[in-house]
Amino acid sequence: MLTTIFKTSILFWLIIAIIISPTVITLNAFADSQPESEELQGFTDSEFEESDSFPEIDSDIDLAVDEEEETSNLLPGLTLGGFFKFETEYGYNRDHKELSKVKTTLFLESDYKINDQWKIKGSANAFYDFAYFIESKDDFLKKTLNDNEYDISLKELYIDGKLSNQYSLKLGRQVVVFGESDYARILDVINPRDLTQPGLISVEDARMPVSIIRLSAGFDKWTFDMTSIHEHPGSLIFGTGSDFDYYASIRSPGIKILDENRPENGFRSPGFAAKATKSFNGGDISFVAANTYDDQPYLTLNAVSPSGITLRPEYDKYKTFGISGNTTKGSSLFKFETAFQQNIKLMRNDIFKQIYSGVPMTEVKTTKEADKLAFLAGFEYTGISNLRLNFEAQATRILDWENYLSSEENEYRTYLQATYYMMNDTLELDLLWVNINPGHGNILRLSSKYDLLDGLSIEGGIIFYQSQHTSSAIYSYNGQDRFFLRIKYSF
Amino acid sequence: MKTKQILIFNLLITLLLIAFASTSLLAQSDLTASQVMEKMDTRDNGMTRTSDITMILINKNKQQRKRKIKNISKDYGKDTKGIIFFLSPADVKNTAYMSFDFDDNNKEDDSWLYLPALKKVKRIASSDKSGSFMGSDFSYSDINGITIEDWDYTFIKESLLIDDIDTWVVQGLPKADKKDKVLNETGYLKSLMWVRKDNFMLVKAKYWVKKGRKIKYLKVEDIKKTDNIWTPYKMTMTTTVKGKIEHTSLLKFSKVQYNKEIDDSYFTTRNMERGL
Repeated sequence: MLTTIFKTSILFWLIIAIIISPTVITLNAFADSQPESEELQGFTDSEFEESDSFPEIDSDIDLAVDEEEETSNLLPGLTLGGFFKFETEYGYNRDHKELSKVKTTLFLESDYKINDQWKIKGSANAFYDFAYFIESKDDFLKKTLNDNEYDISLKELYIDGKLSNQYSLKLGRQVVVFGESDYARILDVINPRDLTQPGLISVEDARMPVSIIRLSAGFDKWTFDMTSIHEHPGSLIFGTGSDFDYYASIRSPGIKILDENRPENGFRSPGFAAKATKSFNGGDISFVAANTYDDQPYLTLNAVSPSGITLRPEYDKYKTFGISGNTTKGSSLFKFETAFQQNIKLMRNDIFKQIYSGVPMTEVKTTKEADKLAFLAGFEYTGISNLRLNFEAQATRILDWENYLSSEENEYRTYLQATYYMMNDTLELDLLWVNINPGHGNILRLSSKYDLLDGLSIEGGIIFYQSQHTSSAIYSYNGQDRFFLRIKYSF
Repeated sequence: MKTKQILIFNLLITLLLIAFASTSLLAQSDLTASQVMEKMDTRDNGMTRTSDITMILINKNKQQRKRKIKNISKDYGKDTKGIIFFLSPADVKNTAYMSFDFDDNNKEDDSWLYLPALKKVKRIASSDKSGSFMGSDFSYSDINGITIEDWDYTFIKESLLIDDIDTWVVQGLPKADKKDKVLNETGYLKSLMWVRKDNFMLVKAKYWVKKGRKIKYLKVEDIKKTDNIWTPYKMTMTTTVKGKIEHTSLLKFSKVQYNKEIDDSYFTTRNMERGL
């Protein structure tokens, strides 16, 4: 059923592409080949008339403009804003069809401009997911409810200032993005991400702010960014009982996974990341070096008992040395990232084998430290009116790969996103396709977004997960296909 | 004797002024259409410019959307650096767009976009300037200006009164060898422009858009001097198809300032992130 729907969707979009592309190309070619006099035919008015009357705006339309800056009456320089969002999802493609999300989120943010050099910004959000109320809480584990039913959290809180025309400093919880990719994490190693629902996370929630000291400097064509990272929460992942359980692929009756052991925040073990960028006409090139915590955990053996083993998720640092760049040519932007990642802890798949062969518990190895090479190439194309195409292909190779590693030696991912803007940008049609190792799995999302009013938008769509390969990262998400709807009011 | 000298001096000055005015008028009347367009293009608009712009978008059902932006730009010889910050509505607030426009046709303009939701500055390809500027009826080329050397200009009428002000009516057609470039950059097949004779300001224009066979009408109003520079405070662009209005965009300018000191460090990607 799942494969049929997926194939049908792919087929539908291919047919659309096959029909539309030649038609558009032929029409454009036909139009281009027309002589000028013919080109101007078909316009209802192509001649100059002295009495030519220009269209007027209806007098009953209110065109009054408030020219004052929108700052708070309480404190000059203070601005307040945020949004209210309602999201719902319906998992239609499984035995127990249900509303898997009925979430309301309130996000508040504030800016305070101290003077022309310094400003403070803070934001926080609170959410409640009514799905757990509707579906009966008895069906969920306490931890699942704690993590997902409701939350109030601080997002950004930082002070940003200019030390001089060349130097600036930004202190506090913030997001700093390195790299060119819109999807992959090769050089974007500073902030952890929200990995709870692959393909469904709102763009504003994709990266999680953490405490960072950032010093930036700019000299002519060069810019430098130096950061020290003092908070290491790891990426947000769903646990037991969730539709998108991160550990679903390794869970079995004999394996118990404990709560995560997160690295200590503060100044004792900070992460570091630095970037130097040279900008030139038509492109940029950046050099990145980092020593940061992996945002995804590895598992250590905590206990062995006759009933099975107990594992605990832990985090460790790895080093990244990389280069990224982009260049524009006409309506295309070409981009690349490449990195050497050193000392990444990778999970082994022979833990039980070691235990059964009599290796003492203290000597059982759950991971191997390995190095990786990663490369990404992509392009963005905006040469067709109102259409934006974004394509990225990523390849990762584990150096010194061994058979006992859970990860494959070579991994490939491709991303394709096509967005079409209509009705003076009020309507957006979007297609996102992610392919994981050819034959291992696909994620396809089709959606549309309409701006009802200034600040009020409605978005709806459908997402499919397809994988027939048991070692695929999304194999356990088979059957989690769903419709989704989001209504957002920004103020 | 002294009075006589003063009289003669005044007479000479008067004669000189008359001579100068006559020469100017004669020179103006001798201008070709291309020279008029060149003078319009090279009109003094200050070394730096800052302004707040309110954009009102009106669809055919008379529904309105409003956007507020802050525009800051600086000339570097014939090149220009500019940065735009979106002030409202809330869902696009703090979005920033920066562009370096080069006079050299062999150099492509540089453009960057900062999206606050992504927290990331992205370089963007910018050759297609015929696209809509922020969903409005204005294209990027309407905002940033066109390359006048790519067009052939002719007078349709050498004198026409618009609101009691004398104007030239100039027709523009892309040069035969630049047609593809012009179409790619502006989307226009032809243009008709009404240019004021007293200050070389564009007051009306009509553009024939190839895609969708649309006609766009531009009206420039509320033109006054600010910091001694002629400045339009209201621009309306209306898109029509087969004579019917499809969409209208109104730009209202406020807080216009020229020649204010703006440091070069203002035009950096880091500053786009920092915001206003």
